[in-house]
Amino acid sequence: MANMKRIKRFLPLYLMMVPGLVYLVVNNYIPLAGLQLAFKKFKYTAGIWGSPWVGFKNFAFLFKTKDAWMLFRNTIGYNLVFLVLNIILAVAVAILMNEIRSAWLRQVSQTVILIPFLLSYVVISYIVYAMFGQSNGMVNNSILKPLGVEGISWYTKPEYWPVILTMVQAWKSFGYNSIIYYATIIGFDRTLYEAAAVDGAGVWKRIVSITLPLLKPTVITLTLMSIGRMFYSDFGLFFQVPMNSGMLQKATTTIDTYVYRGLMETNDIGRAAAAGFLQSVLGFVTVLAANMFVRRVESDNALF
Amino acid sequence: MYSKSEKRFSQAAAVVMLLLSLVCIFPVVLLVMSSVTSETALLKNGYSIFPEEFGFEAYQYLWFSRSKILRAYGMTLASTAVGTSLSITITTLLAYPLSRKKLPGRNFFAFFVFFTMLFQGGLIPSYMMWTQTFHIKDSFWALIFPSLLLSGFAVIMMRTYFSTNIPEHIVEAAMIDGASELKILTRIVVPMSKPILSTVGLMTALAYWNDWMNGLYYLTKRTELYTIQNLLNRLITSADFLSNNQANSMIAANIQVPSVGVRMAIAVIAIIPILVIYPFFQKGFVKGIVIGGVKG
Amino acid sequence: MKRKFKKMAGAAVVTGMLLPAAVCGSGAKAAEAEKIVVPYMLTMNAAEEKDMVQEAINQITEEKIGVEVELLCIDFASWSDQLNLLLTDGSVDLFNCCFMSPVSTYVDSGAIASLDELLDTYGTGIKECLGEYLESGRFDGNIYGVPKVDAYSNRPCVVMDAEICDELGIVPDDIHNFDDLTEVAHKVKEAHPELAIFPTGTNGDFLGPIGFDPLGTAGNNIFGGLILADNNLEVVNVFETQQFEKMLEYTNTWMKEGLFVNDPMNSQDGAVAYVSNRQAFCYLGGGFDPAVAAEVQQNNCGMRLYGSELADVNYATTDSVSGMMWCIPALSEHQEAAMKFLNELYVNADLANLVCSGIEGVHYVKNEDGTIDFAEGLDAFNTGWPSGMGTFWPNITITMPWAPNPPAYYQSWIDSNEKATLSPAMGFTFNPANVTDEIAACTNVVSQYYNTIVLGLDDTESLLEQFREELHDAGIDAIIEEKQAQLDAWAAEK
Repeated sequence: MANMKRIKRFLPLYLMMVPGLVYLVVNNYIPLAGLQLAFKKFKYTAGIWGSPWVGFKNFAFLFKTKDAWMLFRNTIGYNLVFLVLNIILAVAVAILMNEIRSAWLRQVSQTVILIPFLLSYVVISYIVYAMFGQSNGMVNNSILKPLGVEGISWYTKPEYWPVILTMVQAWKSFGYNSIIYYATIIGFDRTLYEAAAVDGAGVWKRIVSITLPLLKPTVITLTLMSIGRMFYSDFGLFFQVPMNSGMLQKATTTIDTYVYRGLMETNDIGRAAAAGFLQSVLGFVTVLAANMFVRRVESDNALF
Repeated sequence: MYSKSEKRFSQAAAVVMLLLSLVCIFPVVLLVMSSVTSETALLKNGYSIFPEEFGFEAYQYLWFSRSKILRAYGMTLASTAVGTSLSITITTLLAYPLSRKKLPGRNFFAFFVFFTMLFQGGLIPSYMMWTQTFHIKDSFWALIFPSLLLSGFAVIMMRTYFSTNIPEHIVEAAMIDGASELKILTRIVVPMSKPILSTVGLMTALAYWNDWMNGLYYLTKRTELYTIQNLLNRLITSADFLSNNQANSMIAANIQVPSVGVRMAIAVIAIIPILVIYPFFQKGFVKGIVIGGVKG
Repeated sequence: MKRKFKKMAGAAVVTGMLLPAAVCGSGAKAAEAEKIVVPYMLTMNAAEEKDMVQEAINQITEEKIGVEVELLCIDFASWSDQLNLLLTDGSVDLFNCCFMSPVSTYVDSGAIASLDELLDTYGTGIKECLGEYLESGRFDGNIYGVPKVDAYSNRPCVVMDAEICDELGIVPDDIHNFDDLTEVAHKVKEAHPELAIFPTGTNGDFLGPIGFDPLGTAGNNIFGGLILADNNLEVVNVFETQQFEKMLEYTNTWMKEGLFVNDPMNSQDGAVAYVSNRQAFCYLGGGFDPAVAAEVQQNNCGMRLYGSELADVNYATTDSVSGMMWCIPALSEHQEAAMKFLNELYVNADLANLVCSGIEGVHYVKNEDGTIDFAEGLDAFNTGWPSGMGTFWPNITITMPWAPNPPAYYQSWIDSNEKATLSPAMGFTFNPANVTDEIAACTNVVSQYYNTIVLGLDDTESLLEQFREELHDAGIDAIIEEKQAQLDAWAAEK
């Protein structure tokens, strides 16, 4: 009886979830049948289910190169840096935005910092080139030259690119990332802040003792979600922004650019699926571990 | 009301944001200036804020397609509006129950949602699914349904917001008063969640606005349904195609295409409308503050 | 090895008259025409009057071969993406495999049908038209693709700004190789120091004069090839040949002497754009005839151009023949009808004119000399049927050429084929299935080193050594071995 009552009580909630869950089944779960292509040789006439199995053969090309280690190192390394930097920047910008008194400035800056997110990496690659081009670039011509420093051939020097790529990435996404923190902050209970003000807490104190702790669940959620993508990289950032320059590859090759270059000609569906499958599985394992950790420390904030 | 230190902090915040805004607006200036630079100067000097020689070839090239560009704007607006409202509805309906700590099976469903963010089946199975079972090919729905309608990310963000910003006791009080779950959602939770609804709405709208994959894969015959991104993508690749293949003497016609400037002009055309629409979403952010503060 | 090439126009007329008689019997009942879908590539023109042209096509085909054709216009932008998807459910029946993956990959994944039987039954016109060149569509024993009629040999040539040539007394006929070209480059640079000589160095443009058969690997990715001058079947690592080193000497010197545009590696536009905007003096490219190539380019650049040849011999290889293959999807339910239509495209001049140039009086008008021109008030932008895409179709050589091309324009294509020297591996196609992993790894190595070495941006000597070493590590030897084995087997069978 108690069970019936429970079900009756929660039935409306389950019903609400139906449209979303059905969509996920149709759009995401059923096509997962495609994952088996990672272990198959795709034949158009046989379809996904009928194509012959080939075991782990499709995965071999990822490890054929002696740079395999570099691919993984670059992919994970960049993602770790981006992860930390993006949180710091986005939270800082959200807090600053919340403190601005001028409504006009707040609205304008909110809009303007979204612009980089709206530009495709192809366009961004031209902007970056306008900055770092050797003969016409602004950095060489307008900054280094007046300082009497000889221009640098940026596109042939891999050592600068970890910094450049990190800057470009941060620049493109900080506005977008900060919206979500900003929305969370302005949703906080104002009375907490008022009480703190009455107690004589300064701005700094309020941020440290109220805003940041309240933001923690959001930060944890977002972090866990990006950890799942740890083995993926934004193709546009690593391929288009360095303009596919060969000499930069030590600093710019990631799993995705390697796969793209390697399969561009043959359009091999099985091998592409294998690479994606590996990236997903590794991400999945990492995120499970991270989630387990969070659950142990702070069970309310675990993703599931 | 404000202390001196608060005022100073606020001013400092304003200065920092102003600087950040400048950093972000710079590329737009560069884009606009480059798009009105003559092709010759672009090839010689690269992109520059101060063009050596003005030229409007890029816009002339786009002018040929003006009626299509207008129609494509219409399609983009329609698909963004329809897609975003549908998306927000089902996202909220899914996220709210997940935020209720007592819901049996909550973790399972949360995992069910999160899993979709990690594993993707790939284009071909999705394509077969949508075209052979749902027959959305060459229809307006092709712009709405595949891949964009519901993102696990949005669901989880919204769930987190609900569970951190909506006090449990409010919901329980309403239930004791005899309110139905749907009523609680529409009368209490939604009004208190304007900031996150605007945020997720904005993110979804941006995703629809920027999308060109669906049009590319699912609109074969009815290209009049192309969105602005499809059209612009097509103009860019056509321009690139022509300028790269002229050397192979494949195209034997009188065609002069400004390909460098066109990319810039197209980027300008694609972002301006978003800057116009954005303030509407901002209203949502502001309203959230007022209502969120009513009950404690 | 030199083979006589059939005069295609002549063959076409004969079969064009014979063929309808053979298949005409069933054609009378147009109502029963079998419908096929054929995708057509658009570049910048939207083909607004597609329906009109399609109707005119069907008037011919329904009656003659009992086939109704639906043209499916697809943008170049989405061509390969959409076709790869359309192949999954058989919704197209005949397609041109250009700007997609190599035909061999579609053979390997079972996406396209073997055509031998269809060709025997319905493709006699094609066979006669192509003769020996049909062999370049043979993979593992069966024919899977039919090459279009084209000027197959690709002579490496240089196309130059004619005005500057005249001004400095440069005679195009005096330029035969990179040495001559270097001399000319110095002369031009001296007179016009602000002008760059070469636009880009990134698309394998400079490889042409080496004269090699890449044996089925495209662009800069030459993993084993034949040196054509040696005229044998020994697959060599082209990157380790003297010829390649010699080429590097030239390009490196040119770079050092400042003959390239600024930052050539990041050049933002096609080579032609640099020349037509007077930012560069010349560009290297392929053409079957430098003079004709320059003449055609003249129309695109809006300026006078001269062309010179950079190699003595005019080679045709399987790759230069098979750039655009017509294929029939394995999942198509109308393969016979598709072959009937394809055959008709090779032999029926009316049909060829229609698909290549549109409808007479509507899209084009005839000139007195046998060429055609835009109809009154039309140009490349506003015409209802694209004028520049004739080479997409199987046989443009039986159509009337567009002015200002010479009336005998296409005849010169056929003539150049007759003069072509065939690679000893002509007709051999490489199946990469066994070495896909090695190719993926080697492609990544090439993209890392190639441009840097060609443009001499770093210490070329040590970099070249590293490049070769990494290619070995990535498995180039396995690819070469596989190529050699397949080539030997092919030769033995022949």
